[in-house]
Amino acid sequence: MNNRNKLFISIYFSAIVLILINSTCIQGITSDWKVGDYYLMSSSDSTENHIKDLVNNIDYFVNSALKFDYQHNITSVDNISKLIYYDSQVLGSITPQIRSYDPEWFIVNRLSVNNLLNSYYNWDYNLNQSVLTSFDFSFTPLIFIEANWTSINNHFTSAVLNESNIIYSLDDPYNPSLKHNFTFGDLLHNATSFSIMGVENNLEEAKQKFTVENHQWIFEFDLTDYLKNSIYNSTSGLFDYLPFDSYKIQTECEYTEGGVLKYYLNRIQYSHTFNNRQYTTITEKILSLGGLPETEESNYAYLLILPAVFFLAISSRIIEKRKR
Amino acid sequence: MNKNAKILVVSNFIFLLLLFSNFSSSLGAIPSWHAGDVIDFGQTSLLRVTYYEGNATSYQIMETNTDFKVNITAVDILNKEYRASIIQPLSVSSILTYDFNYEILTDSFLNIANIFDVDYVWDFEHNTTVLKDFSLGASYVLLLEPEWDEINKIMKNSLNESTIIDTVDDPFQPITYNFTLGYFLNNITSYKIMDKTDLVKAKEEFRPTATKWSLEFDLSGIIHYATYNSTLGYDLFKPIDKYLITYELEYDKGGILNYYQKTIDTSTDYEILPQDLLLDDKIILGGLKAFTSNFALITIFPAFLFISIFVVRKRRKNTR
Repeated sequence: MNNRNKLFISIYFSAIVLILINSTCIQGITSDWKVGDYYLMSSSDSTENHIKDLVNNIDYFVNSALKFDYQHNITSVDNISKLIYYDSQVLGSITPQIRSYDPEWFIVNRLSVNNLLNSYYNWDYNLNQSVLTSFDFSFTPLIFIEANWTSINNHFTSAVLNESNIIYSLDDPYNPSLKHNFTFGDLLHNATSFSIMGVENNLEEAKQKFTVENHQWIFEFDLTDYLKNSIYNSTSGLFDYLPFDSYKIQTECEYTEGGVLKYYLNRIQYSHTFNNRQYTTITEKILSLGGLPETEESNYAYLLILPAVFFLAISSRIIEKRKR
Repeated sequence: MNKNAKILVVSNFIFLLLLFSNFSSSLGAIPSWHAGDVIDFGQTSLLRVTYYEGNATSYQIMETNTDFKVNITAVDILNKEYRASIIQPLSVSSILTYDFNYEILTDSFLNIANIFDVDYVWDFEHNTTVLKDFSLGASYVLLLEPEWDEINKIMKNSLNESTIIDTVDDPFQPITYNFTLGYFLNNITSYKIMDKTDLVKAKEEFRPTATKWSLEFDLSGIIHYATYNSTLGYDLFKPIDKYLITYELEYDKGGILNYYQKTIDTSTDYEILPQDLLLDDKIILGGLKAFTSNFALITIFPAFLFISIFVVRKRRKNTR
C-alpha cells in the first residue's frame, strides 16, 4: 500500500469515527439496554457479628450471607411513560416487573434529600444535650435507567450535598417552643472524617467530581466521634448514650455508560465496648452486574498469605545481607 | 561429678521413671486433665446451600465460630465424673456434672447403630428396595477416660459384616429383607474406615493405643431422594449425584478432645432447582486461633517454597 492510500484510509476511518461520535452526541441519550436483552444481577446481603470477651480473651463470630442471582429478561419498553418491563427469574420462579427508568423518577423517589440524609437525634437527659443516634446514606438503585446523568449529578450537588439541609428537628424537652435544627453541615463538621467521590473532608472540592457524564457515586462517612449508641439503663430508667469504638458508613453506586446498574454497595460497620465485651457488626448489601466481584474466602486467604510473604521476603533479605 | 556418680544419677533417674510408669499403669487409665484446669476449645459450624439455575448461582451461608473454655472444678476418679462450667463469650454456665467413662463414647457416640443409621425402603416403581437415607450419628465428648485399649476393642468387635443394620418387609410376599453392614459397605460407591478401603484392614487399625478414628462414606448415585407422585400414590426415587460423609475424632493421650470434624457434602439434581448442601462442624483444642494457625501454616509453606526457589535462582544467576 502506498502512502497516499494509507492517508486516504486513515482520513476515511477518522471521518467515520467523527460521524459516529457526532451521531451519539446528537442523539444525546443512548441506553445500552433494549427489549430481548438478558442481564444477570447478583444481590448479596451479609452480616458479620463478632463478640470479643476481653476478660477471657475469647471470641464469638456469627456470619451469614445470602446471595441471589437474578436473571432479568427485558420484555418491553414503554418510551412514553418511561417504563421498562422485565421478567426476574430467581430460585425457579419468574416474577414480571414493571419499573420506571426515568432519572427524574429515580431522583424523586429514591434519591430524595429525606431518604438519603435520613437521621435521628435524641435528647440525652444525663448530659442535657442532643445526640445523633442514627444516620444512613442508603438507597435502592434502579437496575435499568435512561443514560442521562446530568440531572442526577445536579441533584446531588445542588439538593443533597447542601450544608444547610436540615436533617433533623428535635424539640427541646424543657421548652416546647424551641426546636433544635441539625443540618447536613453539622453532621459533616462533627464527623470524624468523610470522603465523597474520593475527596476527603472537602465538600466543595468533592462537588466538582459530579460532572454531567459521571455515572459513579461514592460516599463514606466516619461518624465514630459523633454518633452515639443508645442503651437503656434500667436503674436510671433513662437511655445512656455511649460512644462507639468505630462507626463507618459506605455507599457506592455505579452504572454502565448505557444505564445498567454495574455495582451498588452499602456497608455499615460499627463496634462498641460494653461490660468488658467488644461487639462488632458489619452489614453489607451488594448488587453486582454479572456476579459478585470476589468471594469472602479468597479475601481471607489473601490476608493471611500477604504477611507470610512479607515476613519471608524480609527474612530472606536479612539472610542475604548477613552472608555479605 | 565423677563418672561413677554420673552413672548413679542416671540409673536412679531411670529407676524413678520406671517406677512412676509402672505405678500409673497399675492404677489404670488416669486422665491428663485435673481439677483447676481450664481447657480452651474452638468450635466452627458451617452450613452452605447453593442453588443452580442456568448461568445463575444463588447461595445461603450460615457460619458460627466460637471459642469456649471448660473450667474443671472437680474430678471424681472413682465415679468417673467431673464438674465444670463452660465459659463462652456471652455466657458462663453454672457448674454441672459430666461423665467421662469411656462407655459413653462407645455406647452412644461411637455406637455401630448410630454410625450406620441407614434407611432402606421399598421402591414401588421398580419393585425393589432402595437406600433412602443415611445419617452418621457419630459424635464426640470433650473429656474422656483414656481407656484406649477398651475403646478400640469394642469398636473392632462391633464392626461385624453380618450385623443387621436395617430390615424391609416385601409388600407383596411374606419376606423380610435384611440389610447387613457387609451388604451396605459392599454396595456403596466407596468407603474408608480408619483410612482403609476394606473392613479387614480397617479393623487392624483399631490398635490398643489408637486415639484417632476416621470414617468416610461415598454414597453418590446409591442414596436416593423421594418425590411423592399423587397420581401413582407412591414415592418415586431418584439417585443423589453426590453424597459424601466424613467423620474424624482425635484425642490426646490423656483423654482431651484434640480434633473433631463431621462433614456432609451433597449435590442433588432436583428437576426444578439443582442444589448443593455442605455441612461442616469442627472442634479443635486450643481455641479458634488453632484453626487460623494451622491455616497460616498451610499458606506460609508454599510462600516459603516459592521465595526459597526465587532466592536460590537469583543467587545462581549472581554467581554465573
